[in-house]
Order: sequence, then C-alpha cells, then structure tokens
Amino acid sequence: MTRQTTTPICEAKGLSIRFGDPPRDVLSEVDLKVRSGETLAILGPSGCGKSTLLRALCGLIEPDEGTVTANGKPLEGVHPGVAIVFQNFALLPWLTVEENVAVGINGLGLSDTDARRCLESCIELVGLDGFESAYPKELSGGMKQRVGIARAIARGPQLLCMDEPFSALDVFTAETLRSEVYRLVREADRDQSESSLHSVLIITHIIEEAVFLADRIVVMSARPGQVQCVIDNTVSHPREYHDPAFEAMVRRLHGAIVAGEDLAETDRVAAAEDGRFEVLPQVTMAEVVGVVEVLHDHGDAMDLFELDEETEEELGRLLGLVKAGELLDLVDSRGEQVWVTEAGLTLLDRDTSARKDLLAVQLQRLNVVQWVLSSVREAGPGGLDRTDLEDSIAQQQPRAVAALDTLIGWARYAELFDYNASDRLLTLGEAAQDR
Amino acid sequence: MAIGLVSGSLLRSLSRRSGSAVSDSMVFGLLLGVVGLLILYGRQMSEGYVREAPIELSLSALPAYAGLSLSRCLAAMLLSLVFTVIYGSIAAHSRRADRFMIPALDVLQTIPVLSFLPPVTLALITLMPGNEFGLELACIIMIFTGQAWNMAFGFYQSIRAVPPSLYEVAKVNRLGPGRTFMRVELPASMIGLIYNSMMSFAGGWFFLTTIEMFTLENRDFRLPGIGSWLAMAQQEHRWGLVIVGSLVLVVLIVGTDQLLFRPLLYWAQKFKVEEQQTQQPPRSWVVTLWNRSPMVRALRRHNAARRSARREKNAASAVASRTSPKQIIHASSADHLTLRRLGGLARMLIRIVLLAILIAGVVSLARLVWPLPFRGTEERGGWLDVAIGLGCSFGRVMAVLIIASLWAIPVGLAIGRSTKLRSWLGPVVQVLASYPSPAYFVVLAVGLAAFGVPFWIIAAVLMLMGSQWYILFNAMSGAMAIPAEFGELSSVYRLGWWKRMWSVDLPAMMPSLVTGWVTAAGGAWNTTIVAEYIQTGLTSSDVMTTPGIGELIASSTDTGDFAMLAASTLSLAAFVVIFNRLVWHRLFALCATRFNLQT
Repeated sequence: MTRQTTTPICEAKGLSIRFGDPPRDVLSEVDLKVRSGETLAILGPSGCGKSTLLRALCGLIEPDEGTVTANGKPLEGVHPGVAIVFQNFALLPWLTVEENVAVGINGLGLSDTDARRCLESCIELVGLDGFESAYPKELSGGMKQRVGIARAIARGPQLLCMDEPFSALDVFTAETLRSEVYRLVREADRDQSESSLHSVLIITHIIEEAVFLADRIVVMSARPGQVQCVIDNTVSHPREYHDPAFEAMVRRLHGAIVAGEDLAETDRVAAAEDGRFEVLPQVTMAEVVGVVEVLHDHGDAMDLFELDEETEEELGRLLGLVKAGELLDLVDSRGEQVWVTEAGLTLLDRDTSARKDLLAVQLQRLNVVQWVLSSVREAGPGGLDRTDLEDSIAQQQPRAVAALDTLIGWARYAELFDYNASDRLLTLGEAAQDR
Repeated sequence: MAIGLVSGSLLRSLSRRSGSAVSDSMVFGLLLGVVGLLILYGRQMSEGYVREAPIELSLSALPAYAGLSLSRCLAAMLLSLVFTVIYGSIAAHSRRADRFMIPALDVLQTIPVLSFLPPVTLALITLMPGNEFGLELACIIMIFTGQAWNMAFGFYQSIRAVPPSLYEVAKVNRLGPGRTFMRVELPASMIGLIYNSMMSFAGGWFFLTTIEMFTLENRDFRLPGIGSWLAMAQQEHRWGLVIVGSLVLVVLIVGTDQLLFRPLLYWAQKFKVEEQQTQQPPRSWVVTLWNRSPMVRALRRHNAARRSARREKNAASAVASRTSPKQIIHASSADHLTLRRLGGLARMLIRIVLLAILIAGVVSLARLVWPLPFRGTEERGGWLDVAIGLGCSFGRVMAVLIIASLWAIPVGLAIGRSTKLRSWLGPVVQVLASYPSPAYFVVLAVGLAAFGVPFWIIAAVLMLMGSQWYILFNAMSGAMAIPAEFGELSSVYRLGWWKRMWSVDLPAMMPSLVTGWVTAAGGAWNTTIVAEYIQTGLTSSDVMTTPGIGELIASSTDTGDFAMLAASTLSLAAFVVIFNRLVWHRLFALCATRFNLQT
C-alpha cells in the first residue's frame, strides 16, 4: 500500500466498448488506474460492464475507443503480468488439482525442482494439501475456487484479477474463502520481498465485500457502464464487519450508489411536461407490489439500506424496483428514505381483483401507457399488431421499443390490455373495456 | 444417413445400460430373421417381373421429377413420423419393451439402407404386380429405413426426459393416456422431434440416386425422379445436365429447410420445457415475412375480433347458467380386473408370435446363408471374401476418420470459436453437409480415374465426401460449447497453440468429437455400398469396383446372389455392433466422466 510508484500497473483512458447489434455501449468513457501495491475493487450492479472492464484491462478484449496501458506502455495482446480467478472457477475437468495449478506456471521457464516447490507451496497456501491428485469433479465449490486461486497466485502475478470470485459459492463457504483471501492479500502485501503479488483487482456487486477487501473502491453505474465515483477505503486493518468504521464506510458507499441513480419522480414530471415516454425499469409488477408489501411490514417506511438487507436483492435491481414503484406512485423516496404512498396503502387493503383495478389506474398516469392504450383502442376489436406498434414507437422514441416487453408485462398484470404472443396482437383487457 | 445421425445419442444411452447382451443378440436374430424371410418370400414370388420406366433426360422434365422425388421424401417422412410416435411411445412406457426395442434400433441402424432394398422391393412388387405402385412404395420404404430409426430414438429420449412433475399433473387431473400424450408428451418432445425430422429429411436425399434407379438380379428398376435423372445423366456422361440437376437438388434441400423446417422450429419454441432462455432462439426469415405480411395481419385481427365477440357472448350465457363441475366417474374395479386379464393374455400371445418369428427368421436366414462356401469360386464369393471385404472396408473407414479429423477438427474449432466466421460459414457448411454426395459420385470417380488414381483410393475419397461433415459439424458444436473462460485462461496463462489444443480444446471437445466419429463411421460404412461399386456408364460392364463389404452387398444385389447379400449384411451388422460395444461405448463412458464439462 505504501509502495506506490508513479507508473500504474494498468490504466484505462476514455475506454468505450460496444456489443451487440445494433451496437450498444457496454462501457462508456471509463478512466481507471490500478496502482502498484493496492487492492482495488470495482463495485457495481449486474450489467454495468464490470467484467468487461476487467477483461479490457487484461487485454482480453480490444476497446472500441480509448487506450489501455500496462506499466506505462500501450497494451498489446494480453497483459504480461496478470492472472485471473474466474467466477465459475474455469478448472479443466480432465486435469488433477496439481495439473490445474501447474497451468498457472506455464511458460515461466521454471526448472523442474523450482516448479515443484512453487506448486507445493501454492497448494499448501490455499489449504489444498492432500488433494493434489484429486479431479475437480471430486471437490466442493469452495475447494474448486481454492484451486482457481492457487493457479492464479502460482504465476506470481503483478496483477491478480478476481472476477466475482465468491458469487458462485454458498453464503458460508463464500465467507470462509473471503477471509482467507483477505489474509492472503494482507500477508502478501507485508511480505514484499518474497511475493511478487503487487496489486489485486476484485470485481463484486456486494458492498461489504468491497469494503472488506479493497484499499480503493470504484463505483460503477449501469447502462452504459460508467465510473460513478472512486472512494478511498479508510477502514483500518484488521477489518471487522461490525466495526463502526466499517459500517460507516458501507453506508457511505450506499449513499454514493443511490445518489448516482436519477430520481424517478423528477423523471416522471419531466416526461409529463414534454410528453416523452418514461423509461421503465426491467422489473415485474409482482415484484413492485412485493416491495410495497415489505415496506408495509416494516412500518411503511424504510431506509434503502435496510430494505436492501431485508430483501437480499442486489442494490442495482432494488433501485430499479423502487424506481418502478415511484413511476406508479406506489412508493416515494427522498435520499435514502423510501416510504409507501397513499395509493400504495390503498393497494394493500384491497383484494386481488380490486388491486388490479387500482394498478390499472396508476399505470394510466404514464405517458407511454396512455399512448399505447389509445393506439390499441383506435385499432378496434381486432386488436393492434405488435409490429405496427413497434414501428410507431420507434418513430417517436427508439429507446422505448426495448421496454415494450416490460410494458406489456405490467399492463397484462393489471388487465389493462391483453397480448397474444402467437398472433402478436394487443387487445383491450377487462380493466380498460369499461371506460 | 440415419445410421450416423442416430448412433451418437443412441450409443451413449446404450453405453449406460448393463447386461443387455442377451437381449441384444435376441433382437439381432429377430430382425435379421425378418429380413431373411422377406428375401425368401420375395424371391419366390417375384419371378417374371420387369419394370424399366424410361427416364426422360430433358430439362423440361426436371421440375416434375423434382416434385416427384420431393413428394417421395415427404411421404417417407410422414411414414417415419407415424412409426416414430408409435414405436417411441411404446418403448418409453414399457420397461420390458424398452429392453428389446432400443437395442433393436441400434441393430436396425447398422443395417445399410441398400440391404433392405432387395427384400422390400421384391416383396412389394410381388404384392402389387403389374403396376408401379409397388415399386413406388418400395422406394418410399427405402427412404423410410434411412430416417425412422433416428427419429424413433430421439422421440423415445424426449418422452423419457419429460419432467416427472408434468406426469404427476396429468395423473392428478386424470388426463388419461390419450390426453396425456396430446397435452404433455407430444408438446414436450416437439422440438426434438422437429430437429430429428429435419436431420432425417436431409439424410433422405442421400440415397435418392441409388434408390430411384437400381439393378436387382440383373433387372433394371427405375422410378421417375430427380435421383434417377441424375443417375442417368451421369451414366450417359452428360455433365451439363448433371450440373443443372445438382443445382436443382440444392434448391430442393435449401428450400425445404428454409420453408418447412425453420418455420417449424420457430413455432416449436413455445414448447420449450425449461423456462429460462438459454441460447439464441432460432430465427426464420419466413416467419418474419409472415408476421410482416399485411394479409396475415388482417386475418389475425379479424379472427381476434370474432374471438372477442364470442367471448362476450359466452360470458353472458355463463352468468345465466352456472354449471357445477363434472363428476368424475371411476371405472369399476371389476372392469379393471377383466382388462388386466385380457392384457396379460394379449401379452402372452404377442410373445408367442415374436418367438415364432424369431425361430422362423433364424431358420430361414440359416437356410439362406448355408449354401455359401468358405472359399468362393471365380463367379461366386464365399465367407473368405466377406472377411476380406470387411477388412478392406474397415481400413477405409478408419482412414476416412483420420483424414477427416485432421482437417475438420481445426477448421471446426476455428469456425465454432468465432461468431463472425460462424455467421457466414455456418449456413454454407450446412448446405454442403446435407448435399447428398452420391449425386456426384460418378463425376468424381470418372474425373479422378482420368488422373490415374486407383479406384481403391477413389472409393475412400468418395466415403470421405459423405462423412467428413459429421466430424466438422460436431467439432463446431464442440468448439461452441467450450466455456469462454477456457479461452481467456489459455491467453492469460500463455498456453501456446499446441498446448492449448492438447490440454484445453481437444479434451473439451471430446464428447462432441466422439459423437462425430461414431456418426462419421456410421456414415462411412453406409457409403461403402455406393462408393466401392459404381456404375459409371450405360452398360453393366462399366463398373468400377474395389474389394470391400459394400462392393459385396452392391454386387450381390445386382446379380441376385441372396446368400451373399445376407451373409455380408449379417457380417457387417455384427461387426459394427461389436465394434460399437468395444470401442465407442467405452469412449462415451470416458466422456461422461473425465471429459464432462458439467463439474
């Protein structure tokens, strides 16, 4: 941590990457530095392109725009000093544990005795001794990831990249392994002469994980993936989850993430003023109602942070749910406080079919719903062809076409209109026919 | 070429079974016995039949001929579907039948299509003497024998894979066997059924040139169709016409694929059992066009309007009369008992009949093969020739596998790994692969012979043309199944090309490769019949031959040497079955453990 040199191990400048057809920005204008000797966490919701960023920094993906440099020089091909621990382990099932770890030291030109010693010490370091001749199939998930870690550190990498290393494991195993990685990284840092493990880059969507392991935390936002802010982790070692400083840091990150999401209320007001279509988060109506229920169970108002812990939902997705609730005026939020609105309380009082009626009313507050509904009405009893609808939405607001499935899902739930997927026809539902 | 297509998955499932050697040999005897009976019967009854329909070698006749061939293939497909549904569901529901019916498919698909030809043809033209219908039916059944086994097995597998919870739903709601089939089993196996039909249909073109025009006991049998048209054009060495005919064949193959099977696959997506989306769903431009068509859309809207009117009417009448749910009527237990007794009796009868066929079959087969000497004479072969032929063909098959692997595995790997390559090479490969190579065998053979290539090599080249695609296809799908992380791992840990090939790519592709090898081997064995014995010209002396089991089967068909035909078919089938057990089964077992990517 202390031995910061001037040239970063890895640096991205103005990095943009596009995928798909038509090309969509997965990463947009990302600037990032990995300094020598630090542990850097990239924190973000799923779909924010954090894995893509890791692969670009390693040289596995060529950026569409911007540059990546390694040790001050432009990166060509794969970064010479990286090793990766993969989310799903990526062990070769036909090789034994020892042979899998040996893949890590491939091409380093070690003599046979050096190689043997290196393998032995790495296997011992991760607690795999006795399993050398086992095949990955015989191991539990946690043991498999230990092999993955042993393989990566065997290379003595300048930069150890970990791509959500604990997310494929159950909670308890993940916790054990997380503290072992913590110990590993700490010890490697202290023992500077022996290990050449300079820097660690870890990708995660769990705030606590980032605070536990990292020196610096890069918070990313999604669609397109951008760096929202970079926060220095000031929590002192050894770190404990229930340490006040630790909790304060978690809250600070939480606030940073929430602050980055534009508020739905302003979004809706702005949309209503100029008649634009609202941006619908990709969640289902049942989930939105579920959020209202959970809030109600906790006294109709909650801190986003508590709500996140209560539901164990990924924060990015939870924000989408809250945003959808706000669009429908079922919940409201300011800062990190979320509460149930009058309409939300009424909703909870009603039975299933009355709930649908209310949701139908709430839905019709949205520009996009009004517009689609009147189009369906104009089309008459035969219904509206989806292809036609897509064409006319695309003329107004091309981005809204992607949300059509979400919209149809919501409207179906409220029986506002009906959709026949094989005929591709939208017809008026029961809730809309009386009016 | 059903033999190849089916053998992969079939073998894999057989390799999981144990102790079925006894039932295997029973089945083996039974089936070959039936073939033997047919031969004996057909031979006695068919004497004096002559059928030599003129084939008009003109371009104006071609469309009609193409239509005839297409309808033959479609008819065979229908027949295969009926067979598949019946055979597959019986096998899937009866443990006991399963023990015999699935190995039976294994044996059936090792019997080359051409070996069915003489008995089926002779039997049918005898049953319907004096008209073309018998021959026509024979032709359809020949195509059927190239399609049905694969489809039946696929259907059996999908029914076995129906989630038990769906059966429980059916049971709780008292759907009964008929409705369970319509509502649960058929929908659940629809995608597999369509995929298999598509593959089998492509396979149906393979022997078209052979099936529409052949010689049996020195008599010519011809049916008007694009296969016979092509065969004629080749024998008359009219290369221009061969090219035109081949192009028409391409149009037919691509056309049925795009116009029939792609839309069907698209439609079948709604039968997907698992609920999450996995890979990219199939797309079809025909369906897109269809959805875009103003007429279709107008029609749909019209129907929807009528539906909604009807619904309103129903809703009104429903309010008027509220009916109580129907009472469930139980069958009385006495009825049940009688039914069970009857069932037991029927089963007993079936068993007796099967046993009788088995005995009669084995006896007739023995009688048929008995006169064959160990050492043949100049005119007539013996057992020794069968053994030599088997050896020669085996060598050729192995050579084909090795040569095809050498080029197809690296190429398949490259195509499978790159999305870009796949998007434009994929369709090309698909057309190339489904193109029936016998349609240009004569051209290729005559061409190569002109350069002085000996025929024993030409035969191997011809076999290669037919079966290399299976290896390429499976290498492609195997490469696509390699996890992306393995590629990243190879780059990050700097594995060189060679090391990556040996320790990452090849092992990861192994299950697909073994399927590819089994399929290609099956295809190659089947092709021996058309590759080792080629009639290159109009007279019967214009024949290129090289020693091999295919040559023996083809020539004994020509001359009507049924003892030889039976002996060589029997030996080939036995050899392939034994080889499968000894080699491919073990490789599959190894793949299921060591090379299984699902860890």
